[in-house]
Amino acid sequence: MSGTSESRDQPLFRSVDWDRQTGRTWSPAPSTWFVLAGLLAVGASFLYDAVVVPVDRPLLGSWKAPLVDWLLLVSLVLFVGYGLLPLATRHRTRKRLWNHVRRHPTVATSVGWLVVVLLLGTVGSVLLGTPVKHTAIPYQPPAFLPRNPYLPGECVGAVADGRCRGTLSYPLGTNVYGEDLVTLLVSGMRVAVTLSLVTATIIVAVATTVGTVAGFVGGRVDAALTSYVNLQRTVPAFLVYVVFAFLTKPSLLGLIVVFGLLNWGGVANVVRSEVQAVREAGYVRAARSAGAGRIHVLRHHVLPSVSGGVAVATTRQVASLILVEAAISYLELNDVMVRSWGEIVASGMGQWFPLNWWVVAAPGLALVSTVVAVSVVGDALRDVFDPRGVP
Amino acid sequence: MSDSSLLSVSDLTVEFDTPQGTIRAVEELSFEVSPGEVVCLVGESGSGKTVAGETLTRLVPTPPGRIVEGAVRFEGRDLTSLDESDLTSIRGDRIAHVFQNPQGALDPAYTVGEQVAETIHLHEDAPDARERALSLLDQVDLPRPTNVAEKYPHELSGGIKQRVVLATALAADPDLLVADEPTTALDVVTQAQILRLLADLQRERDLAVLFVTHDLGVVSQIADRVVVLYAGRVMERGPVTEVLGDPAHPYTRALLASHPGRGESMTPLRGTFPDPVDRPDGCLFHPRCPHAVEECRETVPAEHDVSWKRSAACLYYGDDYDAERLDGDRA
Repeated sequence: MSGTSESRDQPLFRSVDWDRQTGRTWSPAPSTWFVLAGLLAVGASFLYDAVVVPVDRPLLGSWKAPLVDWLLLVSLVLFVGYGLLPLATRHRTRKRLWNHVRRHPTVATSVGWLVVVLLLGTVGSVLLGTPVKHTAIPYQPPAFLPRNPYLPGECVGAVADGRCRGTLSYPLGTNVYGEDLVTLLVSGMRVAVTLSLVTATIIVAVATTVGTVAGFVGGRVDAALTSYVNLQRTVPAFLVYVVFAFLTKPSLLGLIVVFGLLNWGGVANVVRSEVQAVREAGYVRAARSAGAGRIHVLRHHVLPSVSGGVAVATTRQVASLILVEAAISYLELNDVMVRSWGEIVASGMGQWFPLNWWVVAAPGLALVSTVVAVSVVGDALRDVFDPRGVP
Repeated sequence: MSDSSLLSVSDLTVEFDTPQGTIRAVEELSFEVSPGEVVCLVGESGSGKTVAGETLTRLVPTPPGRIVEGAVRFEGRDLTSLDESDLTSIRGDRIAHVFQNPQGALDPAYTVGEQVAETIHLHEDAPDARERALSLLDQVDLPRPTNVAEKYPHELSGGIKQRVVLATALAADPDLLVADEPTTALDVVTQAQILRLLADLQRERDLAVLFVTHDLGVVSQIADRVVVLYAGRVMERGPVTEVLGDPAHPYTRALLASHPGRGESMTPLRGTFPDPVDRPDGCLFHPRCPHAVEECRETVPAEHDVSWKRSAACLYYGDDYDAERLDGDRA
């Protein structure tokens, strides 16, 4: 039997949040309070920006607060409130998570990298600012590394053996415009975080709603929703985005909306089948026989059981979406003003490639490691969420 | 119907729509449970005993299930006509259920302490739910309740889980406990412990229990009265000592004869259980009955009194037949 390592004599029973079990009065959990407060704050700032601040004037510093950033803020609030806070505040979950991370170095590395991406992606641009062009010094090599003499541009660092060497002022070098690659990578993180979080929020919200309703209500509602989902899954989001980009103009928001609204079908199917399985489970019957209503059963017994499946299925979508964004950038169907990793890679694949290898290698590595990390963390979440699995 | 009964089921018929056709799981079932009494519904798999237990508080999903006719009166109120919100206030609070498989009856996502408290919270705002949950876990004879309360179901054995399930069922202090094969999934030693616990709790709380089982050994240990079901119909009913000691209905006799460990040779029931979609006419048991006569194929036998408080749905106990012949044929 597992769990024997628990300290047997010290009851941890105190940590149980009994109030949360209440069926009659509505006493929200801390995460609900956090989300409510966060959404209110974001909403108020949005209104302030829309009503009070003049159209062309930035809201804060140089931040003009585009729509996609508001969506990122909303997603962040939801992600922290319903994703991170429950993991951190529930004693047992936190312990399981910690045990899992400690035993699996790959998971630990992945979580670490994603935390870096998340932090730098949200506050990095504030600290480092947006990339600045120094057209005089393109193609500075990474620190201490030599550069091929055919590459144009002055040399900021020392010249040894007739070759320009990189300096610590530009640890990862510069690109064709003389922009610092570190700053560029951080701006790419911002794009990756926006893309992932906002799309994931749309997918989780729509897929959970549709999948739960279909699985729990059943009958004709289920048949209608399922056939719609199957129909929608035949529509390739990529193609829709290409058409969209031709008709209007390429944009990150368009990419997010198209992929968010078209790619939730698979996740919804996962939710539906898990809800159906749980609906027949003994503990749902037991809860009903104990006097629990449908809403109570849904909130307390069905939704917690599907959360793991949703997390895994959504991380799969997010991982592939980051790659799709790179592909779209490579096809020059993106908004070139949005400096995503894919865009940086694409801009580096010009006439000087592969002499300017670092311009492609740095964002490429960031891209690949993020995709791998998202997948690894998705798998780890499934292991942790499944209470019957190895803790 | 006597006025003293807590639960009174009359002429209950429940059907299920399946792709193969309509199945009549329970047919014209009537029985009563008085306060503090233990009544056993006995029958083979498919006899409708589980459906009967779950129909009381309408736990059977509709569709495919359907209550065709009949009434379930609990303290005089007909539960078949109550709306869902009234039913949820009765479920758990007045009528609690315990199901066969303790593995599935506990949600793997919560500690067992939380799950006991959940039932308390479902029926009242109880700031002392934690203490009450611990006290309940203590009452079901769990050693170190504080320790067990914080365990997750997968960390506990089947017997301990079934004790927790019992504690959950008793959490809101019900008047009637519907226990559906609560010991079947457990090993023999644990079975005996749980049965003894159930009997103790029943006596302490003066709880009425509807015990659903196929196990005649269990019946003899716990029941006051027995209702024997076959393919959804009552075959025989009466006080446990009489029904098991001197069974009247040929089915009950065959069932007892097929039960191992009575010192006599064990005789399996001949024939097969009727196809639920295509049930025999007349007496449901006639294709397997050693005493069947022509009339058994045509007439559905009424319940005839065998003795005081005891009846059997067999033509032989009617006025036109001589029940002595059953024993004669048998010898």
